[in-house]
Amino acid sequence: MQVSPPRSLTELFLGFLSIGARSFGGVMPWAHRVMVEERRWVTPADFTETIGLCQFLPGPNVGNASIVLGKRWFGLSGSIVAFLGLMALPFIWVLGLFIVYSDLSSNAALKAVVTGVGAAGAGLFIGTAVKLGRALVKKPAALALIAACFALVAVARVSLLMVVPIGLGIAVFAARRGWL
Amino acid sequence: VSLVELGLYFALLSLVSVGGLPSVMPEMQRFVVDVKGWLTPADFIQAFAVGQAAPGPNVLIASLIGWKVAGLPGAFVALGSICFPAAVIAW
Repeated sequence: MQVSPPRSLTELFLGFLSIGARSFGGVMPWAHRVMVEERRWVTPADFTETIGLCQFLPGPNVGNASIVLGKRWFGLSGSIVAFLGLMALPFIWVLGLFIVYSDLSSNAALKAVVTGVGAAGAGLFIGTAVKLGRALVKKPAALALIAACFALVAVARVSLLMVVPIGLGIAVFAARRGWL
Repeated sequence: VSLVELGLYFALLSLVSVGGLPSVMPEMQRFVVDVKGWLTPADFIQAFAVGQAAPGPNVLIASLIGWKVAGLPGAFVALGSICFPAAVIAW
């Protein structure tokens, strides 16, 4: 497939702006559509690889993708432009929605919508956890680590800032011993 | 004071948010609701739901929390501080 990277910062900004503007229900499908299908900035394989890298890094996945791709094409200014383009419209939408919602919080129908969406979002998280967990069922050490993290974070409410580094340490140790 | 506190804490969260924002959501809730009492549990669910329903990266929940804590400056500080450290690493 013939790819043509964005030629100017304006094009880069508009591309990411159009991703952000339409990204109902998750940014990733729209990022793929704009960058791979519509504008042909990157190949499908390249897109998958970049997103994979960004999922491994800390921080919002698509935000990181905008930084990485912006840098590749235009250096620092590319990163800044891509990131701002991605965030600008959703930032305004979300605050606008929130202001409207605060004003109408006595409206029962609107309240029901927000509760429903909250429940759906929570369900999605659980679904993701199950999907990720399935790959680990046959490894008792991994299950023990999952259970310990859950108990600490959800039950004992220990700060994640403690749990993540300690959990990582244990995981590295266990992996070296061949338990994972 | 709470603006600085919010910024520093979100910047820390940014560094442990491996796998994306969902992984730090419980910690965010614990901090802003249980520890600081900036938001009620109902506020947090509302922010979460609006963040999910609106288009855009779900990191925007950070800006909603910032908004609740300190208005528009809070929204900018929260979003900036949760994105910046991770962005530096990505770069």
